[in-house]
Amino acid sequence: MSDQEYLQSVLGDQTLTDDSDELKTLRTRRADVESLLRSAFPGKKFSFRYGGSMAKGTLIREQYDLDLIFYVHADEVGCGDTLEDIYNNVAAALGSGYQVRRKTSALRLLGSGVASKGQDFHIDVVPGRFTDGSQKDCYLHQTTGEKSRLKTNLDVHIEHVRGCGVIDAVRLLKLIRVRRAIPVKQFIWELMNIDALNAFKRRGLPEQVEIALRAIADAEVPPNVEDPANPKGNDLSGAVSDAWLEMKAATKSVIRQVDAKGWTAVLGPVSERNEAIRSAVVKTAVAATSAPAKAWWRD
Amino acid sequence: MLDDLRADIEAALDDKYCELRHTAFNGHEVVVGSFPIWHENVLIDRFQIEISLGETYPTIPPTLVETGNRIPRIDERHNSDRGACLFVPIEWMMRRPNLKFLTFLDGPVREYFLAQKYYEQNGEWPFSSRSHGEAGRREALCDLAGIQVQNWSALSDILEGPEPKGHWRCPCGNGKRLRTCHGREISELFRRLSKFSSLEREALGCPTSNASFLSRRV
Repeated sequence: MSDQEYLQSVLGDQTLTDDSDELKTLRTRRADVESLLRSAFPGKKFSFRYGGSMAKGTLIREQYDLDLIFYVHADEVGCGDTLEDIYNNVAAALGSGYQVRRKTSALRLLGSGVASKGQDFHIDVVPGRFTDGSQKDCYLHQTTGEKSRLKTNLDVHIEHVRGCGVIDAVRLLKLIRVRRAIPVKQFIWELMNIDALNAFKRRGLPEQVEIALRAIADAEVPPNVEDPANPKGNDLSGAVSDAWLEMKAATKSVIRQVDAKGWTAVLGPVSERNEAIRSAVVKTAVAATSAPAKAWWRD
Repeated sequence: MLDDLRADIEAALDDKYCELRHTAFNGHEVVVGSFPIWHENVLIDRFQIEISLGETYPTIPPTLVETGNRIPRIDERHNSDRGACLFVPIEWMMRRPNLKFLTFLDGPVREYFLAQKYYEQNGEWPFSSRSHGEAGRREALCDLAGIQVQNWSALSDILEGPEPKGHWRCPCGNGKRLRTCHGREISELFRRLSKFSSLEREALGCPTSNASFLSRRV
């Protein structure tokens, strides 16, 4: 199998079809969240939009997320006077059904039930407000950073990724970032990768991925990364520099492994997908485990 | 010593776990990334993890956190906000004298995630486990000493005092002297524990030595 074929097989394994259990569950939860927010803000003017990897086409099995965008219309104050009020009110409404983890601008939903406590539901709710009646640009509240308000445009971000021409490489690089736990936001990692591959859209997958990795590994200084939705107003340099040393170390390590042992050493084989086989192998593996450590709940 | 630790970690990752990455955070060695579960050349699944090796490693075992939030933070899944409930620390330290990092990955870490897969499929934990909290700690120490847990108090008295003597009554309660009963196991446990500082013993959940304890039962 060539490197191209191997990487394509890895991508195929990471692809979730519409009828997959993961996406069915995600759609059900999305409907639940929308219902919860409609109940919390009856009669108010807002729109739901969908972002994240689902909208951009970069979804991978090992990290799939739905960004459920909750944008209040520019002239609506019933969901909160300020962006911070909107953010807090949405968090409070979601708290009635979920454990809510507050992020810089988004609200991550986790399980709060007895059997699902702390379990990730792969949904970020992003509260914001349209800047005007055109409903294109919007403002988001920021809980950290120098500015408490961020201006952005969801459609620009989605189109920037969907139209980049190197989606497969972007997805593989996402997988590498996830597997190696490289501590940089996916949004920024994606922008860096797309920038690095701008002149190499016709190259094969193995070459594209290596080019993007070397663009970080071999760089003397962090690159200038622009937010396509707000290049002048949204400064990403801090987020890049914070993760720069880890990014360099991780990408160098991956390149070293590719050079020494090939791509299979970096991404490994695909997991067994047949549930019956997997279940049987798990049972065999458990039976073959001699003197396992006895788990202990310390609390 | 730090160089030896780092070399040990790198050797483990190079050998079998190349999807894990070694880094440092707040002065501690940390291993992050994707942990694969294999059996007989079949890749069962992967979990995102973070393993922290504190300043007192290997005296105090590493801590493991499943960072992908796939596993609920509940006691049935032996998973809490403070991480995976792998073992009573002192029990693992005593039973696994080879403290290579690879041993930790191949042993408790793999067993933990294999058990999680089994739980997902069958709704029950496949391996035996300890009671929660202090009761579990006592079970572990009594097991190491080879005695029943209802004799914990007598064992605790011995472990907190000076070096046990062969003529003392065995804490198992059958009336024999240590030298003809569980003396070997208890002396070994005492000897291993005495190498830890008070703080380490406290962190491991063991009785701390009591230098002022004088009276011994005969």
